[in-house]
Amino acid sequence: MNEMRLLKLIFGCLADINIMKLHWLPVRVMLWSTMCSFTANVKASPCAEIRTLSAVVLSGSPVTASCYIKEDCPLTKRADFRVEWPYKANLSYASVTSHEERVYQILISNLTNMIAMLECAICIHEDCNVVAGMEIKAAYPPPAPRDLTCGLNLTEQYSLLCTWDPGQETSIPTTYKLHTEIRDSAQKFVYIPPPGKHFFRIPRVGFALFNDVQVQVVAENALGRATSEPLVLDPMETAKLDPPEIQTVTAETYECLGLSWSLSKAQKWITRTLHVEIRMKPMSNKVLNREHIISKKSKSGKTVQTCKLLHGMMYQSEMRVRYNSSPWSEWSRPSVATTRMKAPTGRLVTWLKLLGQPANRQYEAELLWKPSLQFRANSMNVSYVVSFVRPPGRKEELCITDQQHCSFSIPVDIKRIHLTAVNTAGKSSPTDVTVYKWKGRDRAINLKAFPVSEESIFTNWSSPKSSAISAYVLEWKALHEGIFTTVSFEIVNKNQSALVFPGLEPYKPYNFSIYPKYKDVIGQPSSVVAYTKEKAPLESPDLKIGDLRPSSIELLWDELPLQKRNGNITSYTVFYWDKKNKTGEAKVTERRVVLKDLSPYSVYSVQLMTSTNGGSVNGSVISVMTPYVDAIEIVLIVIPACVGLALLFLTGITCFSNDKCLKKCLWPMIPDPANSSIKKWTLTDSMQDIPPLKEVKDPVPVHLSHFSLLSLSETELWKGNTPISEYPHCGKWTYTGKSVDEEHSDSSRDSGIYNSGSQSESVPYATVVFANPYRTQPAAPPAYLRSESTQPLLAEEEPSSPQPYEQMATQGTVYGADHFSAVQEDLRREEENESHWVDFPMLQSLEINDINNQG
Amino acid sequence: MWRDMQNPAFENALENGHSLISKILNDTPAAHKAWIHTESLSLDGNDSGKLQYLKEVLNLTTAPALKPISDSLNLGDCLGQIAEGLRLHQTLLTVVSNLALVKPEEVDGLLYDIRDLLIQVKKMQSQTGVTSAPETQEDLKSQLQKNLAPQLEDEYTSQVAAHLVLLHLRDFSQDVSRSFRSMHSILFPDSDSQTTVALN
Repeated sequence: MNEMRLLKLIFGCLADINIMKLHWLPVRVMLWSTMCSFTANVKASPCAEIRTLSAVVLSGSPVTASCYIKEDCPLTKRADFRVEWPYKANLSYASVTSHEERVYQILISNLTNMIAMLECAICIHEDCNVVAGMEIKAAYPPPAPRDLTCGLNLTEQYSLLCTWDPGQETSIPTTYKLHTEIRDSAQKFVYIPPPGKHFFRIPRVGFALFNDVQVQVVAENALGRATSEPLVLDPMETAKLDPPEIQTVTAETYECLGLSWSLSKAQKWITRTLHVEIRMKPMSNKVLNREHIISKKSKSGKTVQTCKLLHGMMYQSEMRVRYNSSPWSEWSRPSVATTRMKAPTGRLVTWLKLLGQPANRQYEAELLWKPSLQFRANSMNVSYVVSFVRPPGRKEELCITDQQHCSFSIPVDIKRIHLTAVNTAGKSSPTDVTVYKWKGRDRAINLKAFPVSEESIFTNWSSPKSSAISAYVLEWKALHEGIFTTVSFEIVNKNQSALVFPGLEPYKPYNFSIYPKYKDVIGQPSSVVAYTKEKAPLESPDLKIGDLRPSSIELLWDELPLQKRNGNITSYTVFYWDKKNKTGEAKVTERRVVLKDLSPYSVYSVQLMTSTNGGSVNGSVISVMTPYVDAIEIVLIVIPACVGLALLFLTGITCFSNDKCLKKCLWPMIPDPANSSIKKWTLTDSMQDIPPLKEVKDPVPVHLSHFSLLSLSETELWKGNTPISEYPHCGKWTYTGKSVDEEHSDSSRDSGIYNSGSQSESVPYATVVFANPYRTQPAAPPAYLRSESTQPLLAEEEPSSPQPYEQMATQGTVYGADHFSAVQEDLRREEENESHWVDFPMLQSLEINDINNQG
Repeated sequence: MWRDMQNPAFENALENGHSLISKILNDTPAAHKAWIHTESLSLDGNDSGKLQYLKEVLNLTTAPALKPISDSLNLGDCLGQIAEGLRLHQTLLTVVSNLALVKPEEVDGLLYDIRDLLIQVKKMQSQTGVTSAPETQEDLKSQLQKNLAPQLEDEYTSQVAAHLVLLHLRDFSQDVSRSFRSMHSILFPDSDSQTTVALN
């Protein structure tokens, strides 16, 4: 049945051609004839068939589709049927008049959709039935494959792996073919990778070793084909060889190492010259320029000599190879060998320090050294010998070390010592070291240090203007390394005033010292501690509780270890708060703080924050409870206070019960000058008994030239007056019968002698004339001005008024004498008023004395 | 004339050729092991006397022995002998392996190496100005195939033929390797010395 339809279709085509008129559009003819020739692009149903030129068309190109209605289609039994192409929103097409019966064509002028579904329907009036459909794909021809690369795999089965980029997807199946051609042999091969794969492993037959091969990829789909740019390559130049093997390393000549090498066992057949890279690394931290990579050509199995190496240095050698421009192999396994050794050469830079003053005619000294630019140890292991020559040529060794410093004792008369580097091949010529003594007095140099980066510190200093400094020695060491730290030094020119120290660690403390070096002495050093960079300390110290009181807490903490500081500790801040969130803080620089004004029996949370210039860190929070006010403490405070108050109260009651006694207690009795005798003494005698004035309140020395003492006899003083028994508590005004000298001695020992209670019988009165009055003391009011008053002194004087003797001891005696005369005159005017004499017993005694004189 | 050969292209081809002949020598034992399973046939053993009869029966063509390169031996002739011998062994190996019941991939590897080596020899020959002789291997190939086909139906004989071909190939390869080394040492004596590198 299908064959019959096919025949009909072909005959239809032929008939169509036969009836074509010449004026028909030639495009039409071509389209239709072409369409007829592609019978595969026919989608048929029992009622109709849709024909197109191709089910895949170039995107954007016109497409013509025909719907052929079969004669036996039942839907066409009625004569009024029509054929329609249901409208598709994404397609724009127009019907094309067909000259063939039962063939209905449309022309899609521009098919841009990736997939378009065409449907043919038979309609009777408004009733349409789809009778056939066909899917048309719009696509592009494949783009030329790009980035074609190939790499030779030198494993057991040699193959050349080629990959490429297919470019933009074409949405229709695309096949790729890999064409290889071995140049100079005219052998060609074609390989087809699996669908969807954009790589292919060309077998050994498809390429030649050490010979150019041309590789091309051809992409092909229904719309066309494209070929990549040809890639011409020597497969060996794309192979990554195995890491070579260094078989032996020999040191047959000075400064050279011979590396005998070969390729791996599987690649030993490659005997041609290869590019070789050798990486030589000295196995010593002392070598600054550590790694060398050298390139050369060599063959597997040969020996490569690497020269201009350091003498006696252990080198780690590694090697890698490649063929021409092929990728480098991995580095070989390292091989270690040592170059031939020679005796050390060159000078050493030295820095000799005498430590303190000599003892037993020996200096303790420390010698530091480092290699000069010209120094060559010429071996891995070099030791140093420090020695001196004692006349007449006897050499004595001070120390032998493999370090670069040494401490020893040297006799004070040695002016020069020698430092020699020694290895197993020999020893260097000695470096002479002059012994410089310390300069006695020296102006300190102001050394400052500033961080430059995380690894370097800039130091500068100012040299004294008139100094004869010949050079400076800068010394630095890491403080965080403890006692095992190595001291480094640098000797700089006298005109230099700054130096940068690189290679330091951040957040670590370094001590920098500068020593001025004079012609034959060393000046005093100046030091500074600096960090390259600071940050917050690693931790904050643990708080310790010291004195704990109800209202205060003493907190202490240890010093943070250097390793944990990360900078200079600038301050400590203690934060504290109670349960009521009453907070406080205290900022200190020392490692102790007392938190005050706290509440008793309260829990306080305390935290310590430690700060550097680079940040702060908080410590852990501890809780501290302030104690109760202690009962014993209360007792110790309250009982003495109560007892004191009670005694005060009793004393007050007693005194107020007898106001005379009170008066006598509080106010002194003034003696009668008229009945006093005058005594004189020499300054020398008087001063012998004067205790050192430093022990007295006023430390100013007293210069007496005249002293008078007015006294009354015991019987005259108290005749006809108030008995002595009326002054039971006022014994301080009583006379003890001591001599004047003794009395003075007592008064000068203790200005409070009147309160001592040691005198009970007499009333002494004295005028002291100072040859050299105390000009520095302020003028005090006259001692006895109260005698001008008609009122009792008790009512005017304050109990705390200065004691007259005490004042006299510190004032000029001239004023004392004058005032005393004034008092005498006043007393005469008040003789009639005897009632007052009772209140002034001393004046009363004066009156008695006056009566006696008159009588 | 030899002085004319002291150019990088010739040296490059010579070194490549030496590498490939080394590869053939390196891979021949593996191919023998993969192909010859008769225990009595070993590359290391001296069985030339024992197999003399079968050698005569098989009548395998052998390559001419390579003479050491010298003033009396022209470089072009030497390269010609090498090329001729390689082609012969390529044909022998192809015919015997095609007639054998099994053909391991190692044998194919040897054939590809011989093919690549012939390219290098051809390059060397082109440097000497000597055009290679017309390849008549197809005739030889068909002739060999015709002669050997009935005899190699026997498995043991087939194994002996394969063994003898590999043995001949190894011996010839050793001669070629020696010749290449000789050429290199004569033409490029400096590059054979030790490589010395100085650190900058």
